[in-house]
Amino acid sequence: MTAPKLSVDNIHKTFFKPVKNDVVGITALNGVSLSVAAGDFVSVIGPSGCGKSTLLRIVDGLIKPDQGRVLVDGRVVDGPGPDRAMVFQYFGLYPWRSVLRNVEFGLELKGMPHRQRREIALSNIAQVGLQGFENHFPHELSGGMRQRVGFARALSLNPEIILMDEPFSSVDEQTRELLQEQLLELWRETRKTVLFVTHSIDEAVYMANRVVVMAARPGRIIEDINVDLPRPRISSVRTLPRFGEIRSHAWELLKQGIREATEPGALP
Amino acid sequence: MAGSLTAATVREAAIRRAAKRRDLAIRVGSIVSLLLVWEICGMLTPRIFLSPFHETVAAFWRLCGDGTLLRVTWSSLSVLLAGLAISVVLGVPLGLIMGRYVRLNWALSPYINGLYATPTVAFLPVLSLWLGLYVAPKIAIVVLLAIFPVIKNTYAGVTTVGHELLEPASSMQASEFQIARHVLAPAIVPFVMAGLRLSVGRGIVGLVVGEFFTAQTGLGGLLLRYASNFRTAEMFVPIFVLVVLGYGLTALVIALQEHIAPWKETERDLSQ
Amino acid sequence: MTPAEDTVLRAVRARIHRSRIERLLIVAATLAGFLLLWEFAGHLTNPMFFAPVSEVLVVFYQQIVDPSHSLLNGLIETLAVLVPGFVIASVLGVVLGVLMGRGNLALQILDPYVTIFYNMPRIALIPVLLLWLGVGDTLKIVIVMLAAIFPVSVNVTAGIRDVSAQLTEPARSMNASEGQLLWKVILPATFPYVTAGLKLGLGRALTTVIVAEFFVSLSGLGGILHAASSTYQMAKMFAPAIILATMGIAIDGLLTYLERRALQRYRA
Repeated sequence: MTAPKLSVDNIHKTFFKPVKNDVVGITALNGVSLSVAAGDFVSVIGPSGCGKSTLLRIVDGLIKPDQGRVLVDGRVVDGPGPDRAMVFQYFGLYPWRSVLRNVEFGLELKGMPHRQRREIALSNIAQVGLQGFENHFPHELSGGMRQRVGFARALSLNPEIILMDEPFSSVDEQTRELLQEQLLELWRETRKTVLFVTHSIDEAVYMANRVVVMAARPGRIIEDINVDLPRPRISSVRTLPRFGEIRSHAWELLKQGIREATEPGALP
Repeated sequence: MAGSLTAATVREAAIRRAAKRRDLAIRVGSIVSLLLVWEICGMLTPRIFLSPFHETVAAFWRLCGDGTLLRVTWSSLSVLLAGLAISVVLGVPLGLIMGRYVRLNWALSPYINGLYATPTVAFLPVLSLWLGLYVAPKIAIVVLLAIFPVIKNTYAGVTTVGHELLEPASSMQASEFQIARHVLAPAIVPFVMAGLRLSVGRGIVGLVVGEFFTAQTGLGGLLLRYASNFRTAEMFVPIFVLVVLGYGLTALVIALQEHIAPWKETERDLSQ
Repeated sequence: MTPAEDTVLRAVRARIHRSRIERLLIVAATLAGFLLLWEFAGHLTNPMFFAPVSEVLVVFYQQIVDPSHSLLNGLIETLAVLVPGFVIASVLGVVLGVLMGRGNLALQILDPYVTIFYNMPRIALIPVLLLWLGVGDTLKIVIVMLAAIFPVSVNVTAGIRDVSAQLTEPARSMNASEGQLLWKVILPATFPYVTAGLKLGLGRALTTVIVAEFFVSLSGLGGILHAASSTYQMAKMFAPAIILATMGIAIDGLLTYLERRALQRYRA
């Protein structure tokens, strides 16, 4: 049996906040494990503080776990790598670089020659629908457009796993739906493995074939829901009864998680 | 209806233009009133206190014509620019390494913050003792006044480069050097410019103090000589040039900042 | 908390404690190094130009116990000019700033003057004022006031214009009068700008008082400095310089503390 594409193995992570003259420990992740097959689209939802963003950053290698490990194709992850790329909630673009130079930045860091990286960047910019904006600067673009630049940048790196940290939460509702459609289409075409963090249950169920529900204090996975809705996902899918069922189930789990966290005896 | 919107827009534009003209008129009126008061008071008081405005204008023309003004302004400007240049060349790297190496910051910041809060003009007598009376002490005092905003603002720039700029680069496996070159360097530019803006004003203060108390060259020297000789018409000319210099250089730094770094990053120029 | 977390917490606390000690050591070491260098350099150079720290400390002590109290008198003379000048500048500066911030007419009439004065080195006016006011404390108080008033007023004006509609709307909807609006909403909101302006103004005031005292020698700390340097008594310059530095640091620190206390109340 081949190793799963991504394997998160019993991750623990505690953060320390300075409070007055002391420190207070906050358990962001408490024994989180997850397995993702190649080509899967997995959503992760949970309340604030459940560690979903921390989990994503540990998978990307930006943060090291206190215990446990992350494996990609059976190899242990030790820092960021070319096999994973992240799309940030805050877009993460460099204000002094044009769209084109932002998209090719990752390739520039790798030392790819000018002409080659230009080609790749231009094709990805076109793929996210921003042709004509190559020489614009981030502050001249809307939120939705900036996020698309973020995608194009991630795509240019040609990673096997794309990690998305609430990519649409800084964007308005209508743009959000358009971007969701676009993302699904890109996913269908490129067949990448996607780990998608969001705080919208609707979005999580709509986009993914698995929804991982997390709880906070301590950060942990409550359940891994299989989403057996038809693909390709179109808006009408949201009206299917099955959609409502899955959604309610997820909502119940979230509420239960909140209840459990505020009960006495729960970890600080 | 589209028609009424266009009409409303045209009306609004006209109202705004009229308001702008009115504001301009008030400002001009304000200044002109002062000049009138100056003229009248100048006629009524003895020359050793105040000369009428028109004599100052005449003096200005005269000083322009015979090259004095140009010579004296250049003398001041060259000292100022030299001092500012040294402040940037020394201050930016210092702010950078203090921001980058915490231990160095621990070691040096008491002295740097201490000097920043001290009126460094107090060192002018010492400087003129050590460096003489000509150009060197003037440049030194300009540097002593101008370098601290540069250091402080550069330090602020380095330490507040947010994780939003660093994370994406880390995620794309950038090396330390690549981060310094592609992320830190461009990100601190607005901060350095903000520091420079503060430095211009402080530097000019240093310049004038230097010109008062060491060899009396430049605009400060000219001013002092006129005032001590009761030349009340001429004495306002160097003052006027100093105002123009201060305003002009500050505006230049702002324009430069807009051009190089048009995005609005957090820069705190209202507090030191 | 689990035993594993407890260990990590202890380790973090220990690390913070160690780094506090390290910081203390570094500060002490740099001070020691600096003093050593000063002592060494003092003995190597011409006594006309430089004095070693030991000599400076001895002279400092002598000045403090000096029966004629020249140092104390100098301090009092400087404060007699600095305090009235700075206080008047602060009050007038706030009034001017508010006038210009709230009323367009006042802004248009006064702005040309504020711009002119703000952009010039006010010390350049000392020779002119000397001509008009003669030698004396009035001259010094006036120039200190002129030096400090504009940083205050400019910052206050900026602060008032910056007060967001989110703060004024609720009050206006509760029918607050202009006066109430100004006193209870706008001024508190402008507080950080006021303190920023005061700090800037203080710096200018200190610088100006020294320069004024250089002009009108034999008075105040600036006078002592000037006299000491013209008689090549390097060691005597140390005490006034230290007192001025301490004044600057202390008042700046006080203003920062007040600012932080006030902000804590609205930021919490």
